[in-house]
Amino acid sequence: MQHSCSRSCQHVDETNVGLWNLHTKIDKYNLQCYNEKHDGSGKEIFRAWDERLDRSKVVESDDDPELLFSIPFNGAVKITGLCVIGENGPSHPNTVKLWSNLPELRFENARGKEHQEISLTYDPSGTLAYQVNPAHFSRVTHLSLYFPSNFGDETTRIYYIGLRGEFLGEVKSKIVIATYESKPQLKDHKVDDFLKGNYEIQ
Amino acid sequence: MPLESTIICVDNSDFMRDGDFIPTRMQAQQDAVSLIFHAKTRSNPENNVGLLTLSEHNQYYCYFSGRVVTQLTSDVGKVFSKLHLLPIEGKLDFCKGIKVANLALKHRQGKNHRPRIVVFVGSPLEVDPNEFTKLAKRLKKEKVSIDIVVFGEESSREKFEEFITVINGKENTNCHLICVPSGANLPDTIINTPIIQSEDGSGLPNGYAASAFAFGVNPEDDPELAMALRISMEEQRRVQEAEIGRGTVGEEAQLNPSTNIASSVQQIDATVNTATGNNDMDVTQLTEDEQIALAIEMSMKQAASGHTNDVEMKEETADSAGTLSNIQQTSKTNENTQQNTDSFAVSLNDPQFLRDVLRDLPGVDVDSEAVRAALEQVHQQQPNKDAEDKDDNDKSNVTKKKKDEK
Repeated sequence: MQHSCSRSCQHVDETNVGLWNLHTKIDKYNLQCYNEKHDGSGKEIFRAWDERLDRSKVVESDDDPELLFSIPFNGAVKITGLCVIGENGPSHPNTVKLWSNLPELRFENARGKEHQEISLTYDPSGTLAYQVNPAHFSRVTHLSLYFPSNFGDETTRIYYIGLRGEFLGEVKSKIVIATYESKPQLKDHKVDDFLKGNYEIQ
Repeated sequence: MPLESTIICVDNSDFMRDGDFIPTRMQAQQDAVSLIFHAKTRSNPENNVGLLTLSEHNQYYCYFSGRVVTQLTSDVGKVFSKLHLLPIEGKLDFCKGIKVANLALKHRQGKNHRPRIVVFVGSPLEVDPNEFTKLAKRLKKEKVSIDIVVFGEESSREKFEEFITVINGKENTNCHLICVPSGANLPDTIINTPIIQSEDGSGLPNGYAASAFAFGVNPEDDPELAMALRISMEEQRRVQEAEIGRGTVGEEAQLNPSTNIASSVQQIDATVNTATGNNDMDVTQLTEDEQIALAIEMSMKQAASGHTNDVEMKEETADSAGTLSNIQQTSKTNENTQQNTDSFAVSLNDPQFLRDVLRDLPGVDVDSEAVRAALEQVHQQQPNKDAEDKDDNDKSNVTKKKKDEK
């Protein structure tokens, strides 16, 4: 992240701005932050790289140090990096667990096995970028971030979360393969669990 | 209009047999549930509502509460068919019921819907305070909003207030506690609360009383039918209230914090009719409004003393004994169902009817000068064969006056 000019130059490091723009692909309306103290504050920490040092926008947890972000995207993305800015003190989170494509994940199932766990360290200015494994995160439509603990404070405070990656394209809704029959015959369709669930067409 | 999945938790404990809500607490709850269902699906057709019971008694004296009666659905038929078959049994288990509701919401199909629980509580609450607070915190953490309707029970009010404060946190106002005292009309009371009225006013419009929806008739589809049903429902209610009023004469006139003036006037009717000797004493105790209404009644009585077709007259029921009044009541209801249009014309002469009906219409202030003057005009005219013509005149007078005052 350091550029090669001498220290007193004026220009802004442009190399990272373009990469950390997955926030534009987040479905902000349906983004939810669980256990936040002030409703809606969780949405504001996903913003442009240039604004990462803005201290006015913060999300704080309520009563205990846990925070859970449920982040749907407007399509499929590939996530390669993560950046978390907190205080230079005990309210900074010390771990993050990531899951991809599990929109129902809440605190109960967050105790289980995560897709990736990253140990964090103090980063008040956004200089650290953590690598995200491509194993589970090469095609993500929904991302869950769980911060279970911090460095000792009662509540956790996060100023900025950055996601680095690529946008792979919009996801069409699921009807894709259709067979047209003039007279449907049940014997042409091998169905094991007939009428299994209760699915409504809305 | 946010997408919402709501689970309505119904109290079906033995306390629901109580008749302090007309006709029973259980029926009042059912009306209220149907009202909420219509409000939710009206504000957004993709909203889902489910139904859950809070108490169940199994014969081995173990309580298996929190049974999901209907999964989250937007189909009115599924919810209503089960709603009217709910058994009344057992004791309330609030915490277990709420936990089951939470679980049902977790498995909802609309993942983007905001989860909400609406709980009706009409029996005493026995709960461990720690568990209660932990439950509130858990719901808050998972962003489940909750509305609690406490009816007929005052003992657990503080506990619920605390519960709502914990869930709301410092700044949220998503969760509400509504307390409905005994004897009030449950659906009509909640129609004005945030449960039905959402912030942008997209709940049910103000003019529609809960009883219209209780018949499953949408006032927009068929306003005349809805009006006819509402009027006959009002009649029934007034007759019943008059009978109740006869039983508790003196107290009712004084303590009626939540009932409207019309119903208290019914009781005054009963007082006037049964204790003619005590008129002076009763009159001075009434408030000014009630005195004016009483004056209207008295002048109306003089005008219609010989009128045989006027089946809504209270004197008939008050004069006869209990059994006779029942017979008359049933004959009245028969007549009502058969002769809707006749009773329309006649009932429009009755000031209380006009008053009640006008009260429900939007934009009319019943106590305003113009309306009161119009009502007095009605009584001074003789209710005879020309009644219908005069009704038209009156109605146009009333509407003219309404327009004037607007």
